[in-house]
Amino acid sequence: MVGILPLFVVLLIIVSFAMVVAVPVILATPGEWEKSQGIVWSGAGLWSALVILTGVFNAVPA
Amino acid sequence: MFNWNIVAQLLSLALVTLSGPAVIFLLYFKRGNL
Repeated sequence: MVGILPLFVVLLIIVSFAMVVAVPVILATPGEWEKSQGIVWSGAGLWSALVILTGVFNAVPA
Repeated sequence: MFNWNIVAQLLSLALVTLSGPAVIFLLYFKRGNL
């Protein structure tokens, strides 16, 4: 039985990679920041939530 | 037999190593401010 923790870790890795690539591209493309800063904010929120959730589920197994 | 830890480590290394050039190429194709 695979717990929920590896799922959170894999999601965190995927979101981290996406953010590492997307944020510099969005910031350095003229006019792109105004268009897609929502992606950056929601990506940062999702990433932070995954960090907290991973920590919680690592300490208290579901 | 198959060492999954090494596979994951090499995959992570590839991800980190390729993310830098990926940003450069994306900015080039999108005509970003290089």
